[in-house]
Amino acid sequence: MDIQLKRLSFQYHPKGAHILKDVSLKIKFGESLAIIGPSGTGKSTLLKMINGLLLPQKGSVLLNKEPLHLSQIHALRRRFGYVMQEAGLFPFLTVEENITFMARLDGWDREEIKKRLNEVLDLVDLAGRPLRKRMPDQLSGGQRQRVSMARALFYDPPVLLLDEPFTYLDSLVSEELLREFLKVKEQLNKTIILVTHDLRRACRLADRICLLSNGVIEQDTSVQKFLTSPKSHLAKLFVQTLEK
Amino acid sequence: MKRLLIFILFSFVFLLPNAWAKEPIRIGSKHFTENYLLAEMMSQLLEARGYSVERVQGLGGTMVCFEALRNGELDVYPEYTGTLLKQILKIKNENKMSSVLKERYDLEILPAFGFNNSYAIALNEDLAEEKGLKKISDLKYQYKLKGGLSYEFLRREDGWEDLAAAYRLSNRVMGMEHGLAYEALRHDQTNFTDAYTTDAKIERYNLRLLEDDLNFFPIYKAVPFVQSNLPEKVKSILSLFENQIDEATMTRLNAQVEINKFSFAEVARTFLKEKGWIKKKLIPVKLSAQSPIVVAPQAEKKNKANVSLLKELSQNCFEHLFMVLVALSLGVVVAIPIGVLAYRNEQWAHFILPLTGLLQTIPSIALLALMIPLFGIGMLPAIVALFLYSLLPIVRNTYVGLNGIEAVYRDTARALGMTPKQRLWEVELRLAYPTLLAGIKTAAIINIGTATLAAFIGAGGLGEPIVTGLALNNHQLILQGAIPAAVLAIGVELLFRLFDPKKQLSLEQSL
Ligand SMILES: Nc1ncnc2c1ncn2[C@@H]1O[C@H](COP(=O)(O)OP(=O)(O)O)[C@@H](O)[C@H]1O
Ligand SMILES: [Mg+2]
Repeated sequence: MDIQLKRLSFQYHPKGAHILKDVSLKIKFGESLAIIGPSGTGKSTLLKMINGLLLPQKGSVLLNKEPLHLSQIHALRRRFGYVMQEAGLFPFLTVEENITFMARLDGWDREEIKKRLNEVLDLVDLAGRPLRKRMPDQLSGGQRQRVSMARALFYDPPVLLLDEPFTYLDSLVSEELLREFLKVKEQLNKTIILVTHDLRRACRLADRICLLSNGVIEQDTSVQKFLTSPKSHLAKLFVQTLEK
Repeated sequence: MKRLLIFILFSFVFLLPNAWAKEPIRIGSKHFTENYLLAEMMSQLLEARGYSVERVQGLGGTMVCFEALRNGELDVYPEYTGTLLKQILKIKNENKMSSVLKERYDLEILPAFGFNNSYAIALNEDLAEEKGLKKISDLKYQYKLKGGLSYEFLRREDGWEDLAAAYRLSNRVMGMEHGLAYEALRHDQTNFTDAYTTDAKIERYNLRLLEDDLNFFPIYKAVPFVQSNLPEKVKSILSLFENQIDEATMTRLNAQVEINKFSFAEVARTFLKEKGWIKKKLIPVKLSAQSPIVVAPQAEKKNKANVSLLKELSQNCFEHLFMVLVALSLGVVVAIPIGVLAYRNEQWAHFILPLTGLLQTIPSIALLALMIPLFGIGMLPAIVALFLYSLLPIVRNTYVGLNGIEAVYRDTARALGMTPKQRLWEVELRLAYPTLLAGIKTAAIINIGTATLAAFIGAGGLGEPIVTGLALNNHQLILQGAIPAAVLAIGVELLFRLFDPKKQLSLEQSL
């Protein structure tokens, strides 16, 4: 699924600040893109516009050249796997109930659900672990993110939206999770859009870097180019973080 | 429609065994001894003559009784001429009373019982002696004395305000339940109170009545106050009471209940027998839901008393729980959608939340009284009032619970592709559940407490012994209602713990 953002502008409140200002972006199917930038610049906001959690006041979102139709928005969102920094596992459901929640609401039959559950647990390396029946508060941070990932992969969506998945994890666990993402990237043909302020991991997962600052795209280029010729002051600052 | 509803409600619980008998005569009373007694005498006399009677005793004051009579919920209750003139009809001329009653309300009064139970100002004999108080006008110079007056006297037309103006009194006064006013007097918390001239407590507490030297108080002759369309036969039976009870007799009868602890039924029966209006043979006294039982230790054998006490207790508990449960269920069914509506639409929330809050600020007894013109007396208006009270905590907690959901869960549910309906049922309400449950619990506990007041409009329940106990100043009776009510409240608290996932968990962990 090709994604095109055309001159998006967005504010949360009619009288509030413009969070996104005239943002345009094209993402081809199969690409992996990292959106980086300091916190509060509108990265999450931008990500939420892609699967229609937020709608732009100006501009449009095109999916395979089609504008996003509100009438099909619920079905459409199943085509995006969404993983957030807080994992967002429902506290009243067990691990496996969380992963299969939507499929059960959609009325999949039991065997199908079971089969798919095993597949996604395998994908995130949780298949052998006895934590299917646990509640989310009985999991470690890294396990929670993997369950969240498994849930996002359940419908085999063509696009994965990852919003700062490493934030609450220590570096060792972050490394493990990154390896899962890399595995998914290699094994499955998916568009991956990663939002982060961590350039080091962005470079390892993504082929392309997009630097967002105060609601404007400052630079949008390949990882290689970004590292060798950062254009703005902010871009240089980011690259410097790698040298330490 | 209204009648049908009442009928369904009542038959549902099998509350009134005689609800099926054809049209019993409904006899009401206010919640003080003398009025209970007069109502009971009329009831027994009619029963002795073969009529079936429904007792609706212990109603909460003049307006409750009058509204009930006027709306056809009662056929008869004992009223006083002074009250009729000043408070109900608001006219001066006693001679016009009957015609105005007939014209305006199609009601009438039967020949008076014979005694005048006027208001009086009473104070402790010792204090009166010490200060040399004999007349009400003497109070003028004792402006430091504090009054503890019944609410009714404090507010009524010919009550304190007019009395103070007529006698130029400037004493500080406070309102309290009439039964409690005597206790306050006894413990020197207050110095004077309003009393009835036939009140048995005057002797018991050794009080002095001050002379009404300006003839301020009108005459309060007790009369049967009845529907005009009551059968002539019934009216003529009730007219037997004409001039049969003088002040001394009434005071004595009151004292037999309040001091000697005979039951209303017993005192009434003895009086009717003395008059030769009923046979010496014991007539079984049918007790309906509303009629209070006063256990008379001298008269009944101990274990017999225990059995009837237990029966009465379980009946009261059952009625109480029934009212609370019906009101609460309705509350849940109505309030949760309203709370969801407020959550979904911020503009509506601005309107809904203050409105339910407003309901809560109406004092319970006032809300109950407001229900009478709409729903009559008995359980139905009580349930409606309890239902209204249960709205606020449930609406509020639904709203607060839903609004308190962390954004991440809302975003996740949307990102998964759930429809608004799925999000509400599958995610939002489940996350709000503990808060919501706390709201329902609060409503249940408020309802259990408030339902004790429902006895004031004849709804029965645990308030019944409390109201009767207050009227008789009988602590045992008050506790007979108050303790089970407290136990119910604690039971509800424990019950809700079973439903609360968090509390259950902590119990598990502590093991
Ligand atoms: N729901 C919201 N309502 C109002 N303002 C918001 C909301 N969410 C985010 N913002 C504001 O929008 C700006 C961008 O937020 P966000 O997209 O979350 O930034 P980032 O993900 O880059 O840290 C911030 O200033 C933030 O305070
Ligand atoms: Mg963010």
